[in-house]
Amino acid sequence: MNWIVFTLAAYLCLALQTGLGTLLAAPDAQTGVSPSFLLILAVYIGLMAPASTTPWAMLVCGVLVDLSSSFSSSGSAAGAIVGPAALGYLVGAYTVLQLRALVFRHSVFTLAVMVFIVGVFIQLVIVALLTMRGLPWLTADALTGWSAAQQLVNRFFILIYSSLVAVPLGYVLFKSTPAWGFGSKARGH
Amino acid sequence: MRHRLFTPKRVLALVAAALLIASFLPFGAASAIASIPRKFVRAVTAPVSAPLNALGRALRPPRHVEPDLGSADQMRAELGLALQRINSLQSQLKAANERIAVLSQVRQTAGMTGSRLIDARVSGFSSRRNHPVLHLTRGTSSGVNNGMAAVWGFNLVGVIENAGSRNADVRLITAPKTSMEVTFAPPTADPSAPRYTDRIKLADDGRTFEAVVNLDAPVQVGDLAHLNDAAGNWPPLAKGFVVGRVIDVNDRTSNPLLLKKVIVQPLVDLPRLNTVQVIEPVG
Repeated sequence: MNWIVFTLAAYLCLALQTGLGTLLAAPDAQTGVSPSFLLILAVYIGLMAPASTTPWAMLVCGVLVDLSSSFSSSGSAAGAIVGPAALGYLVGAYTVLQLRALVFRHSVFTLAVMVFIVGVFIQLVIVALLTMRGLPWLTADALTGWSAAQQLVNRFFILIYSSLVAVPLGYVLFKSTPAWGFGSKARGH
Repeated sequence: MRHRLFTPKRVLALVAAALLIASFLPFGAASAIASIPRKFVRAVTAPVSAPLNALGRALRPPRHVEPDLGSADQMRAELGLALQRINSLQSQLKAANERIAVLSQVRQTAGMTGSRLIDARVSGFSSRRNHPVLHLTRGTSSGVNNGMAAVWGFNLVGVIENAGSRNADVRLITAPKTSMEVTFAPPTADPSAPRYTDRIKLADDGRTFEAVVNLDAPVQVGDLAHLNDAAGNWPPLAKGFVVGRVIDVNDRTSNPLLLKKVIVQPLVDLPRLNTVQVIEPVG
């Protein structure tokens, strides 16, 4: 895989996700959900890239998601926690590597479906790790205003929205496949 | 075959373990570790994300959420009602304070010891030959006799005349050619308030009294005129009762540089009274 292309694509997806969050949020700009472009990119790489490259690429995407998130705890200033999303995307990488042999990879609809399925695993891991921070025998440092149930509902709608956006974005990504240099190794499992 | 110590899988496992540990660090430490990379990522993506964010806010401005003022409107209405109630109570309090002040003055000047009040209902009013009288349903059988003073509250109404067994008349203070000595005093319970004594007489309109006083006399609009009959032309027990209130002080006199005219009007509409109290001396 061409890591320069990956870097550029990750940069654009993160910038679009951050910049267009207000414009694309639904149902309203302040409290709505917006699609995750990094998730779409990660699943695309998971479908197309070699098995040895996929975990690292999705790990990087996860770290970028962690750095773009914001939490607070016990009156502290807002900050980021590196780890939950990175591990979630790592689990997602394992998932997509297991499933991609069963699907026709060169389809935007496959991409959309895989975004949803893989995204479920990713979000479950993220929510689980962040919720476990509040366990008294672990960190006992729960996040302010954190509700696991509310987060699952919220992230569910994010996955649906991301799946819908994956169709047009996947079309662009699949058109750019030659630039990625995935090579013949990607065809195998 | 050489075995590498750090294979990609092992490195990935080590990274995953490190990330797992980082996920459960105290928030302060975790955010401190992520702060520099976070700022770097934000700085790098800002050239693209900032214009897009501005575009998004321009196309979808923040929606103005109308606050639910239902409860606030209701509270405002209740506040308005409460303020009205307060204003009404303040007016009543002011009137009560004035009444207390007048009664205090009456008590200071009136000789009410050794007397009792007889309630008498007014059966009618007549003004034969310009002689206004109230007809009472009480007479000598109830203790009402000629020459007694009739009052209403602290207001002087008149003098009893033509007392029969079961009825009597009250010659009103507004009878023609009525004159009396009064003491002018402001409606306050303060005993040190300025007082001025002079004589008033019925004015030509038959409803008010007038007096011509010195220009420097301490009489002003709002002052009360209390009966102060030093000559004994009125029942002694009527002393101190209010004849009326000063409604006007003007210079329409023969010598406006030295004198002023005071107009006094009774506080109550005497012909329309339904009841009066007759002061009966006891003992």
